Amino acid sequence: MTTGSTNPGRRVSASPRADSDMALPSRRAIRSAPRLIAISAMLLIIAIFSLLPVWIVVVSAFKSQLEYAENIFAPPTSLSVDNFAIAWQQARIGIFMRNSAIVSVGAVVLCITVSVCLAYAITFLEWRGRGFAFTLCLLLLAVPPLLLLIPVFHVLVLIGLVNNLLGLILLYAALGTPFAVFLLVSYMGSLPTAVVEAAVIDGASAPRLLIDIVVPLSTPAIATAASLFFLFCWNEFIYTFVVLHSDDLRTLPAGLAALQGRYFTNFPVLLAGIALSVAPVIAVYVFFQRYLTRGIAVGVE
Amino acid sequence: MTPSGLAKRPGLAFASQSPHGARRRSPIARSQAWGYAAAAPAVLLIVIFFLVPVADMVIHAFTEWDGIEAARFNGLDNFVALLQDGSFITALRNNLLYAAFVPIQVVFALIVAMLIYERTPGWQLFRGIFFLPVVMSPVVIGIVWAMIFNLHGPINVVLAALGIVGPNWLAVPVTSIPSIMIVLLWASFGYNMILYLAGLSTVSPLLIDAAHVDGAGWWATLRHVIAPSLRRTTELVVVLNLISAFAFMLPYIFVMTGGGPGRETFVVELLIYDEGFVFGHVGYASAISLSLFAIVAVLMFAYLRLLRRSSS
Repeated sequence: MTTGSTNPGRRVSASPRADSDMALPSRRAIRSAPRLIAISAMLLIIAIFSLLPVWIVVVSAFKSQLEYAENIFAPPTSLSVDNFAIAWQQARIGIFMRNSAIVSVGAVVLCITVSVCLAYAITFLEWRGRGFAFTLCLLLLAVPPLLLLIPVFHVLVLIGLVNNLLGLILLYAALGTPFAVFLLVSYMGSLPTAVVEAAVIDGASAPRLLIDIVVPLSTPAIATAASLFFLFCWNEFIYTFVVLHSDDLRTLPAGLAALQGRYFTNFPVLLAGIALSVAPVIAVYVFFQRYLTRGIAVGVE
Repeated sequence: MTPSGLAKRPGLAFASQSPHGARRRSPIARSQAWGYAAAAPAVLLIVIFFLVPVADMVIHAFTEWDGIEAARFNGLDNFVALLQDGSFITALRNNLLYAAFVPIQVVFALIVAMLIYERTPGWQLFRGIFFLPVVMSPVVIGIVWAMIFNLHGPINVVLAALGIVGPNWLAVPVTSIPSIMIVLLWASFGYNMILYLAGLSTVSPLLIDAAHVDGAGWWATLRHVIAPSLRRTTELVVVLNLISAFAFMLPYIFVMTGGGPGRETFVVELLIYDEGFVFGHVGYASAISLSLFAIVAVLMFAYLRLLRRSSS
């Protein structure tokens, strides 16, 4: 309510203070009890709608098929982890999870590294084509990835990286770059000029300035770009589905889609697999919620 | 090349994001070479996975090609065939139906955001719960909801308790598309709510207080004070959801119905996948991709304009 409320949303910055726009407005004083109850009741109903699928997944994952058929909504009678073990071993969730981790971490590291370098070059260095590079990123960040499914697959065939985790890592990193560059350029452009100037006067070279000054100052924007992009990689479906077709190379979304057919009659195992696959993103969500929110709200004035 | 050139840089985030608008001198000597070096890896990735594919798509859209042997130029044949392709017409109709559902998604998200904005006790918890679907894969969401809509799933269990025999929701033409719309609503409203909350945070509480002091009720305040300030946010939410209705539907449809029953829930994206990867009509699939590109282009430019406007 203090500094943030005049001008929030403009900043991709992620200092905790910027969240102060979420502080209590003074309107609170003029709220009546019936209205408070009405609002809370509506929120509660929407929350039930929101959480019902989550509840069903969590309770079903612990149930036997018989128990599941008897009462879908009831909590499990015992906390048996059999379904999780079956999902991890026989249904190969463990392998899919390993692949997802390799691809997501690899793509995040690659994408953020190259994006930070390009954003730095656009913001701080003088070279012909920097305006063009930025405009290109801006144009491409609006392209829905699916539109390029056919030709990107062809490119991967040409460079011999189909059915190869590296191919998917490179492809994902490319898909994430335009938006990451946009976020980072926006943020770097707002860094205090005095600090950068001081470093240059002290004789910092271009790489020194990047590593010692710009990257440490840009960590909030880097966290935003990295956490949003990690979710993209972990959750993406159609590219991983067509690019990696060996059963051993599948990432979670493609693996789960394949399992859906096979375990259609054994929902508890499928749901245990889903619970396992969602656990890492829930962790990202818990630790990075603030950064994610800020990245999503880009474009809101 | 002087450090003083940096001083022209405005202090606000976003303000200097356009190198055209606020082109400033680099403080570093020989930065030309460093500039190319720093840009090269990202530019290389973009060239390989964006620019080459776009060219590849445009070229092959005018060919008959199975993806293996040499492509054969066939002029506009693909596009003529496309207009007569019943699957394409059905798919496009369905995309339009999902697009027609966007207003409901938007209004629902606005209502939720307004409720959160009231800051009743526990609002942070509610906001966290509503945000949860945002981090989940559409595949996961689709599989779980397919189970919920299953003939013996929880919805029909509840209906049975009420003495109603529920249909097989996703397998019956009348109920399949509305069922998918409910899933879309569930999956999207948290995301849209975040956009609206960001928009609401730019509305000055003083303005709202002033409206209350002037005797404006809840509705009058919403209509005359809050809604006008949210116009741009609404434009953004509408554009993003429309883009989703045309180009981000595939994973949901793929795992929930596979496009069925028949082609009842089919979408253009699924046609691209089928033609390209199942039937081997890669030239035709390129033509469909290009057509979908043209359809979505208007929305993409609207989105870019909104992004730029917010940052200027």
